[in-house]
Amino acid sequence: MANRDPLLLIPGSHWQTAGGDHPSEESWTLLARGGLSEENRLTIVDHIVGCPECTRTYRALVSLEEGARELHPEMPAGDLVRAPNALGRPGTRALFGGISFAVAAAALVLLVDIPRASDPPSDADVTRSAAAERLTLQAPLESAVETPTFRWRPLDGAIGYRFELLDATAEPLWNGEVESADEHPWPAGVPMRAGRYYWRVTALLGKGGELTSELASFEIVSGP
Amino acid sequence: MSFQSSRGAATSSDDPGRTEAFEAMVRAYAGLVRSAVASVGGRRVTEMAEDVEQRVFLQLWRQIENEQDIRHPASYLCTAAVRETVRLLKRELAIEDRHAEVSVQPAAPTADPHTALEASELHRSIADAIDTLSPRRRRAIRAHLAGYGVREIMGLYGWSYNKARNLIARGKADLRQTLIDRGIHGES
Repeated sequence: MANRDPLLLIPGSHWQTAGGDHPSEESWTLLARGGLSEENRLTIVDHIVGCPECTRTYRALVSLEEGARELHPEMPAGDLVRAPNALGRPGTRALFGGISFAVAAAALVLLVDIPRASDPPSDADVTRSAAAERLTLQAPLESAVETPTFRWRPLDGAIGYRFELLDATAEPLWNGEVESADEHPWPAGVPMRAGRYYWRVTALLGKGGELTSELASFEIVSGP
Repeated sequence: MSFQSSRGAATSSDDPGRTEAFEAMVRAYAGLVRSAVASVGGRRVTEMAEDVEQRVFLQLWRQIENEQDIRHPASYLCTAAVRETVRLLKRELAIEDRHAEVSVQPAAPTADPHTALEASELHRSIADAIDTLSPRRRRAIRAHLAGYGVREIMGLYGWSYNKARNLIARGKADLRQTLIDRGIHGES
């Protein structure tokens, strides 16, 4: 029997081994609104990550805070989400004001090619900006393969990618964020059978923006 | 803008315009609580949207009624909304658990106890292997395996995108090697 990646043994995409107590209502409030020491915050976060129930509460509170920020952008941020400071170390969140925002804005300027208002766009600029609007899939495309590795061209300014695999009837087989910026293997847990499949990638941009590629198809010529 | 509840010196009749504005803000936050809970798959909440929103509104208003003087209404309401979200989710999860207990079926008589034991031992081996990782890689891997996306992991720990990605990738590599060293292979 051939040895395969032992990480494929890890069940599904939801492995959670909770330790410690659930945060109290007061702890959740301090986490969401600020006021915990770094050590206490990390202890609570470590529990949240290992606990399905607390993961759900955490995500609900992040959604709540995002909504509250739209209503009141001037409100001081809490501690649910940490942004790295200018030195790349954990820092308190200040995405909508203060030094961190200025640093993030400066970094975005460096990443994005912003044409000067006085320069009319050249043909090359138009082509580049048009190309920059597309997320380009590279392989597999309309091809017959045995063991596909999905590849795409990384997009400038993307902070993450989401990969989708669909079956011949365009029913989703797998959908999730991936850690690589330009490729992803066949998703663990999805049986690789002969037949036609579709796939696409969504680039995650700052401030909730997204750019989704076209849908590409391919065929698996043989499978187990 | 500050607000004084009916228990404070000023009553709602002294400034109906501001009370109305504050009430609108409370309703907005009640809506946010409902959306936040529905966003994590609270089916009951989604199905009973209006009822839930009205209940949350009343709960928030009750909290306000107990305060004398609210100097920063937005911040106060956000804190109150956090509390209501946590309470509502706790209640919904308790109801879901009760429904799940009622619907659990006994194991089929042909279930293989050896398979169950192997799965349990594998789970323990993987957990032990994860514990051998360096602290940051351990955190990255645990979050990754729990289904958190890279952006979420960035926010949990205050890491940049590249740092989060690298920690996940290196954590996976370390975990893979540790499992192989312990004789655990993904055999086909």
